[in-house]
Amino acid sequence: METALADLVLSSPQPTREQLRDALLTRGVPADTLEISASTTPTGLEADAIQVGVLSGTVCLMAYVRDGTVSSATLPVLASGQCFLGSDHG
Amino acid sequence: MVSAGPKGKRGRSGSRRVSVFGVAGELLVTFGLLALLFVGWEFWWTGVQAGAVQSKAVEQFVREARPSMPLPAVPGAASGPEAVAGPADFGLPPVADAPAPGETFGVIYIPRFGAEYSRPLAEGTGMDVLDTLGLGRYPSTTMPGAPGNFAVAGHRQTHGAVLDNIHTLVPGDKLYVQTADGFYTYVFRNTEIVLPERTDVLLPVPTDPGASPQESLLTLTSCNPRFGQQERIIAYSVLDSWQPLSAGPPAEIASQLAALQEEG
Repeated sequence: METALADLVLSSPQPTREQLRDALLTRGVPADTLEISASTTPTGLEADAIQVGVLSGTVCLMAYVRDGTVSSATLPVLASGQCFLGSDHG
Repeated sequence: MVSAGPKGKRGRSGSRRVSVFGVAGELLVTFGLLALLFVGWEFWWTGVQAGAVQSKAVEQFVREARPSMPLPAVPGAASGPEAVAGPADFGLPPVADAPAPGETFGVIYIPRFGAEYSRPLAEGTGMDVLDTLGLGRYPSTTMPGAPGNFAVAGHRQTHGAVLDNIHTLVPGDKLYVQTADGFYTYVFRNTEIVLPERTDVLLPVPTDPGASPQESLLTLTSCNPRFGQQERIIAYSVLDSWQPLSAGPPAEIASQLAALQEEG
């Protein structure tokens, strides 16, 4: 996942949710394991960052993209079976 | 001599015009200066005042809730060979009673916001708390360590700008809460941006009214965008471990805490 995101931000430093989804699906990440935060806020502003969670067994591969930089971590899956807390699951 | 009348008329009319424009100009300049003074007060002076109050509150709390000395670093902090062994298991975390309104009940350390970042945690989200002590617990939410949602609010700008850098948290970042019982280590997961009326982010399982909480969460709320307040930014973290004061602080904040105790 990190490689796919790193490649993407080279051409699009602040990608949209749709660009991220397309990039990861192209790399074979199953759609039903994927959570991506909104790239636009409720009032129409551009989000400071966009976050990705990929469910992989008992862990979540988490990534954070901001200003062309990708940070990632592996965290336990939540009791809900999801990677993100809150309502923004993409 | 004879033509003095008309000249005099033009002169009076001109000076009246100058006078009107002059007064309007002076009013605009005065208004501009007042606006600048207000901005300075709002963004700078409130920060100076609140910063002093917050530093004093942190020093006092750390002095009173003193970990055992010398400060041993507990394994399992952010990095280093100890991390391989994992955090020591101290059993279920204690959950303190709700404090009195305005009472400082803890300190939060967020290394992502700076090596010296520490702010008091106080009870309540009224302006009397947020404008001075900085971070206030929503009374409807849990205390640290309890299953459910321990949620706190803080200003993004002004009055110390305690959550100015909330958008820079990245997954895996540690947030440490020190109370009179010990240190609670939370791991950041994700943020979301919502409209101000979305109070469901404070639910035991955020935004899921029917769910029973299985995890202990820390939720930070602040204004969004950085220099506006038409939205809220919500940062969610999950409790990873806890350790009593007698075990000393987590390694990542050990030197920071030692410095605070020396100051205190």
